[in-house]
Amino acid sequence: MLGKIIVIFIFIGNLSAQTNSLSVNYSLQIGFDEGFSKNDILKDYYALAQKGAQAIKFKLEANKIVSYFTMVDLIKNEEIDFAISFSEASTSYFIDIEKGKKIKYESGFFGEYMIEYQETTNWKLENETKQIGDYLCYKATSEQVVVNPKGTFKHPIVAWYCPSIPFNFGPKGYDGLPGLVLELQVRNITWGATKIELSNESIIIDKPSKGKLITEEEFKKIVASPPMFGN
Amino acid sequence: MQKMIFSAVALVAFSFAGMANEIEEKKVETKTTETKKVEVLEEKVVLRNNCDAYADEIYNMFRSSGYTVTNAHNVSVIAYNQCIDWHTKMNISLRSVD
Repeated sequence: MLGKIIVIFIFIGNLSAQTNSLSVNYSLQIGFDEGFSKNDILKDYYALAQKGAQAIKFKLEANKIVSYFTMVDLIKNEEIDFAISFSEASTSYFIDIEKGKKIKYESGFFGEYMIEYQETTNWKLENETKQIGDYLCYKATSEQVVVNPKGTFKHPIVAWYCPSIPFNFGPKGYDGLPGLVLELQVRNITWGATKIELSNESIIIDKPSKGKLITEEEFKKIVASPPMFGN
Repeated sequence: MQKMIFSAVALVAFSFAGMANEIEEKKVETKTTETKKVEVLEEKVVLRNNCDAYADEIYNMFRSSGYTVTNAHNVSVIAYNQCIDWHTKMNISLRSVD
C-alpha cells in the first residue's frame, strides 16, 4: 500500500532563469508493510521505526551540476535508530553530473566509507500529475532491485518531479528526471519536500571526504559476511 | 510492549538454540623427542549466547523480506543491543546456546 505524505510546504525565493542553486528540506515517512505487520517480532520494531521517522529530516543542496543529499544531525533514541536502520537514512549521496561522479557515504556498523557507484535509474515517465505546494508535478516510476543471499527482490519506486524547477536531482541519489523530485517513494518509505529555497547565487558544493574510498564491489564483499555479535 | 518483545526473545532463543554457531578449533600438535611423544592440544571455543541467536534471526528475517544486507545488519545490531540491555536491566544472565 502506498502511504500518503502530508507536506507542509514552504517555498522561498523566485524561480527565474537565473536560479543557480537550491536547498530543499525533506521529511521521512515509513508506511504500512504487510509482511512486518504479521511478524510477531518485527512488527514491534517496525512500529518504533514508524514513530522515529517523524523526527528525521534531510537536506538536498544543489547547483546545476552537483548535488549533496544528507540526513540532518539529530539526537537519537531507540525509535530514531530503528527508523534510520529501516530506511538507510544515514547514507548520504554526492553527485557530480559534469564529472560523471557518484559517491555514497555509508556510516554505520561496518565503519565509514565513501563508495563510488555507477548506478543509474531507468525511469518510466507517466502521464499522471499532482500538485505539490504550488508546483505541478509529474509521475515517474522505476524499481529497486535488491540482491541478497536470500534471493532477488524488486520494489516499486514512484517519483513526483517538477519540470518547472529545472534541477535534475532528488532524494537518495535518485536523479536523471527532467525536474527536481519533490516526493519519492521506494517500497513503503517516502521522502517529501517540505521547504525549497532558491537562490541566484552560484554555490560550490564540495565533495565531502569522510571515510575510506572504495568501490561498490569492495563494499559488497565487506557486508557479505553475517554479523558476529559481542565477539 | 517490552515484556512482549522479550517473551518472544525467549521463544526464539529456545527455538533456534540448535542453530547457533559454536566455533571450535582443535589443534593437535605432536612433538617427537628421542624418548617420548608429547601431544599438545589447543582448544579455542567461541560461545554464542541467546542474544546472538536472536539478532541472527532478525538479520535473516530482514534479508528474507527483501531488504539489503546493510539494512539487515543495522537493525540486527540494534536488536542485539536491546537484548543485552534488557538482560542487564532484568539482571538475567545471558544463556549459552549449544
